Amino acid sequence: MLDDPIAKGLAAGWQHYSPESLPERWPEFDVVIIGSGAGGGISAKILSEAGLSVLIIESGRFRSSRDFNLQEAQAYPDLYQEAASRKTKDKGIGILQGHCVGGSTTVNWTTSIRTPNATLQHWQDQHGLSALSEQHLQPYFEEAEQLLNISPWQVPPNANNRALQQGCEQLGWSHQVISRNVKGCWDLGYCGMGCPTNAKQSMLTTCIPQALEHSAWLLSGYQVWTLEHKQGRVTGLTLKPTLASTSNNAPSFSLSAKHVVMAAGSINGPALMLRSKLPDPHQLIGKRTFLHPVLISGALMPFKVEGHKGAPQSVYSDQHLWPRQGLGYKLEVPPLHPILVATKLCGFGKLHQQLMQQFNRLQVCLALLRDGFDAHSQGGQVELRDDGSALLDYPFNDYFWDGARRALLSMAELQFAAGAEAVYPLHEQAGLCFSWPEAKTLIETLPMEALQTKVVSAHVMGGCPMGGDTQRSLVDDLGRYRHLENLSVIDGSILPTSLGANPQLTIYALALRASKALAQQLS
Amino acid sequence: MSQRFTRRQFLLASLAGAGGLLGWYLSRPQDLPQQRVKARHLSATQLEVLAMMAPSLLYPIRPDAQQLHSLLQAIDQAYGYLPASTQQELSQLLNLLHRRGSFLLLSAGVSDLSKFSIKQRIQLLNYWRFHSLALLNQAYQGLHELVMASWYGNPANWPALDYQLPEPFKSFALERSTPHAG
Repeated sequence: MLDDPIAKGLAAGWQHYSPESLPERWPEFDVVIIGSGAGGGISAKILSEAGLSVLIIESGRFRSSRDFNLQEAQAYPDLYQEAASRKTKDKGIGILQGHCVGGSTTVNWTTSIRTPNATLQHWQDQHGLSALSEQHLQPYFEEAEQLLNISPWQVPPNANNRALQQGCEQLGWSHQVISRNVKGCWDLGYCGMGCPTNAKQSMLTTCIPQALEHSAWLLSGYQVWTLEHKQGRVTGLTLKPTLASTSNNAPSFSLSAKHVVMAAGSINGPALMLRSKLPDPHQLIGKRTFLHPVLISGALMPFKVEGHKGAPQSVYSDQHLWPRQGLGYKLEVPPLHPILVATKLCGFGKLHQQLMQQFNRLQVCLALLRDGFDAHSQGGQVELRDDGSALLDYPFNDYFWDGARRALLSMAELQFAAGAEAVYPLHEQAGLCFSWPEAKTLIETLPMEALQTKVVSAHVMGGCPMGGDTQRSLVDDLGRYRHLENLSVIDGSILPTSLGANPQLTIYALALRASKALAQQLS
Repeated sequence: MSQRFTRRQFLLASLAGAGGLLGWYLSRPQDLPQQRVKARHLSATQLEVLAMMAPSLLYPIRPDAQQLHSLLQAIDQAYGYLPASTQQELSQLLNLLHRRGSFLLLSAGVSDLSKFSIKQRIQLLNYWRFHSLALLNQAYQGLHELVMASWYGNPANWPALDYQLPEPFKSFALERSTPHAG
């Protein structure tokens, strides 16, 4: 039986509460942190180690390695927002986002890439973030990398990633080895279902336990529904139980705190702000929410790929990330498991069945579009449904579809260069293509439309922009909310654009910087 | 082999492709598994609609009665995990499909779902899939996702894919199938 540090910690007396077990009374905390993902986890560790009393509130469940059974059918409802069925308003983009203690860090694929320098430069030039230079952030990246054991993956890539590498080599495209936040990784390939061996250095296995060891409290299964505020200060939080199966008799209640850190992530964080009617004189809450919208291309290889085995992501290519014109995109691959593949493959019937039967010969490429850097790329807008829940409206435009079509072309070209027998651009009106010229002709004529072109996302950013201009930003570069003195926002929602890189390492570095400043302020 | 299909070509193609399906009526309501699905979330009529539509999405896979029963059970469970807003949308779709009057609107003027053959159901799904109305695309994709996830999430259906859990975790994974609350 593998060691389960969460079970051990709970047995040793960590202060964990849930709808099934609530304390008789709540003390007043120095800091309440809403959310336990990349931003909330780092903040909890730093603030509790500074001697502050901390409560972490997580709307998802507190799971641990003993619960992770490597099965999608359990993991998706248990660990993901809306049971992994979250979608944009027109249902044109499916969104994978964590919903459990550790947030998306519990279920991500461990890819750890520093913020590209060009992105930081854009923030300095366009968003007034002069402090966030590469040089200034370097110690925070280094600290995060040390804390979470982030280093380039030394094991040879699995065949899925190797195809990406070989395609790049054939075409003379740049490609890099991915750094991962793992320690003693078994190279299984099931990171998206929660790491069963605790090798992934997620917030679940690192910073949250460290915070609990430093007397932080954790409440899981409760959602902060509103923030009460008065005269420029947050005065309280109202909470509702979220776990449908267990919450029938759990009460809603209110809490107060000297300081509140919002780390509920993009979409849910801005939705909480909207429900709470936080002061927002320039109407910025929820706007400019970015997704790194992902286009997908499948390929049949003449050899076994077995894309479910091995580190899910170990190679990427930025060959097309910074084009002179139009949307740029990063090329990566996903892990391939039955539900993920079967639900994303377009169509049904014989072709779908045949491709599923060829499951182990499938190679899949992803192109992550770098949204938010151009006037034509304004991202989405978080709204509230009638029941107060969050909804993201992310409209498409011609600028987007131009990038999407080029992305499908690049992936098909790469897959044929890597030896594909056939390529299937994921679009309802596409089919198998057996040569690069054939694929090119097809993709150039496909109608690029929502719900015909498959678009997904696993990186939700923005909606509460940081910046130097008080009229265009809600928080400063330390996450301090401009219109409420005891509120900070420390998560991916403060990113003023998308990144052009998987976001966890950027959030860790910014969170280290912001929470250290906050600890100093409050101590 | 690949070419850009127009919507009409797709409908014709789906009709032609469905030609070999004549005579296969597994998914008629009377073929519902004898053993009653213990549904916690979906109504009997909603399950009836799903029992008719799910095999059309899976074809040429032909689930037997036991497999159909397991599939409906898994769909009911998956539905229960969805947020209230998504449940409401799916519920409305299933109810519409069950009502003759509203079904006329969704099926471009054909009678009711229970009178459809499998090939007509496949044709209907493709009609939604390629329609210019986003609402119909959404209906198709909602059903597609629910059925595919429920079928391929079941380890009993993995041998066809040659997909296996890593050796050290095969039995371990089964032991862990019921997580603790918390």
